[in-house]
Amino acid sequence: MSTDLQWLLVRDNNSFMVKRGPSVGRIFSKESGNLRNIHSEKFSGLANSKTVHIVDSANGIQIVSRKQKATPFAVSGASSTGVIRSRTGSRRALGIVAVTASKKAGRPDLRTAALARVSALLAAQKEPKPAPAKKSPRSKKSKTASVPVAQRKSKAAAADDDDDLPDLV
Amino acid sequence: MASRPTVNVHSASGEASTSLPLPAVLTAPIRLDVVSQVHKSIAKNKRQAYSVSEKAGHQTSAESWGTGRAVARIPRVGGSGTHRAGQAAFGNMCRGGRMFAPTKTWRKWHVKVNQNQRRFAVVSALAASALPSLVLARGHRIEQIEEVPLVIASAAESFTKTKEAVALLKSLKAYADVVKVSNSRKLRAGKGKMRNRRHRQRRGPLVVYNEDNGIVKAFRNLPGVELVNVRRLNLLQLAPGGHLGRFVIWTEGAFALLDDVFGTFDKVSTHKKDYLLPTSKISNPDVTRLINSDEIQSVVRPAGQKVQKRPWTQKKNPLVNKAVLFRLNPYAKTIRRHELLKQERLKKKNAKKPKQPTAAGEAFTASLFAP
Repeated sequence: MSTDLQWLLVRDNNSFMVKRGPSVGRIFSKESGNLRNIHSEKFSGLANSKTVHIVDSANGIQIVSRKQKATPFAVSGASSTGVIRSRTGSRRALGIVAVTASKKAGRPDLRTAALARVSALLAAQKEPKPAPAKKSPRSKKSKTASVPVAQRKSKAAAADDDDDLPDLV
Repeated sequence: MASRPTVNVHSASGEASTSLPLPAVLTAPIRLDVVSQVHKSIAKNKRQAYSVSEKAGHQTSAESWGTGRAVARIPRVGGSGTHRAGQAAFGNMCRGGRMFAPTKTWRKWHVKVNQNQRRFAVVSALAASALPSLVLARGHRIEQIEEVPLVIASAAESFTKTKEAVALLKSLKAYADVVKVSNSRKLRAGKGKMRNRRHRQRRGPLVVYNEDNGIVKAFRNLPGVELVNVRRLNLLQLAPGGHLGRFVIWTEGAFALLDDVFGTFDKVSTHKKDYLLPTSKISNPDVTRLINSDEIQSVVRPAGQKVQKRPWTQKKNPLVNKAVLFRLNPYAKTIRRHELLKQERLKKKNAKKPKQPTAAGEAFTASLFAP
């Protein structure tokens, strides 16, 4: 069965589609094998014989690609999984993913999408930078500097308002 | 396809033992439109008649008061002593009146569908159930199972205990679909609760058997699991809701019988008289392969240079702008030139000639200047 035909069957309705609200233009999709989670023929994990998927797991980032020699009927045996361990640096991780997507999975058109997904996962794994310590609100400098400006501003605003208003009497 | 693909038969412990050739039905054309259309009609055939009472709204002796009483001429309930007296009756706009177009029990409840269409739909739904992506797209949890179509050894037909059935599904890694059904069980909204449709839940796997030696009793208590004999496959079970791709578990005997039940593309079915499988309109629906084929690539013109469209440039009006006009209509240039030449000619022709002094006659001048 050709994947073009499968896309036509899956396009109108499937269990992975995410349509939230009538006004939302973009339809999303949450099946595995969809790198950008966008409901489209190119990114679909259902209607493509060659797919790559990148997910976060306990051991590290998993790259699941569909074996190119698998029969169209195979399900679990058709995918091969590789793990990028958490101590792998981001440059190496990106390199592995780029090669897997374009060579092993045979989808050079998904290279950028795969890289974007891995970078997003790596960025999410990073520990957030400690926030800079807040300055104490009572420091003299800030107090003296800020208050008069605010007062002046408010005064000016008040005067302006008065001018704008017509005299009632 | 050089050789006919084969499908593994999984034993009770889950591993593949033997294999069977893929029946021709599972390669039949998949027509979503046919399936949904036929399903829509077939699903109507289980309805029961309902209607409002024939007498509803007419159980009063109301009569119109006629004109002259400064009220509408609608029939009014006679008498006095109750509130009802003098109230309008019968009309669909009246309180206590009859509804508009009261429903009748003799509505057309059933829809006939041609036999060949019904068979086409079943065949389509079967073919869709053999594609992993379509089964996934329907929402079945089959990510862990080995392959689709899933065939189990015939020993399962003589299972009598649900415990065995559960163990089998677990070893096939198909039990996740039953768990999904179990988790989805919710109380139905509305009156259906009191009409023997208390809960609603997803659909699980459909087990197709050849001979019932206890398999029905073994499986039927599992939530969402349905069983059917291979000779009585039903569209309502193969494509619930008109959605293709039901997860089907075949027993070996049932799978082997498919070629007999539905026939093949060139051998008639033994169960359905003179039935051949429908053939596809197009033998290779792979559009990419078609476009990149030698036959098409040798005929098409080579790709020209890429034309960059500039979306934000101002659109020029060819009626005003000469350059654009000449690009659109090269002959316009000739027309214009001819028009100019014509104008020039006319100008020259119509120009006023300067008055030429008419030369006086020789005799006249001689006499004029006579010495």
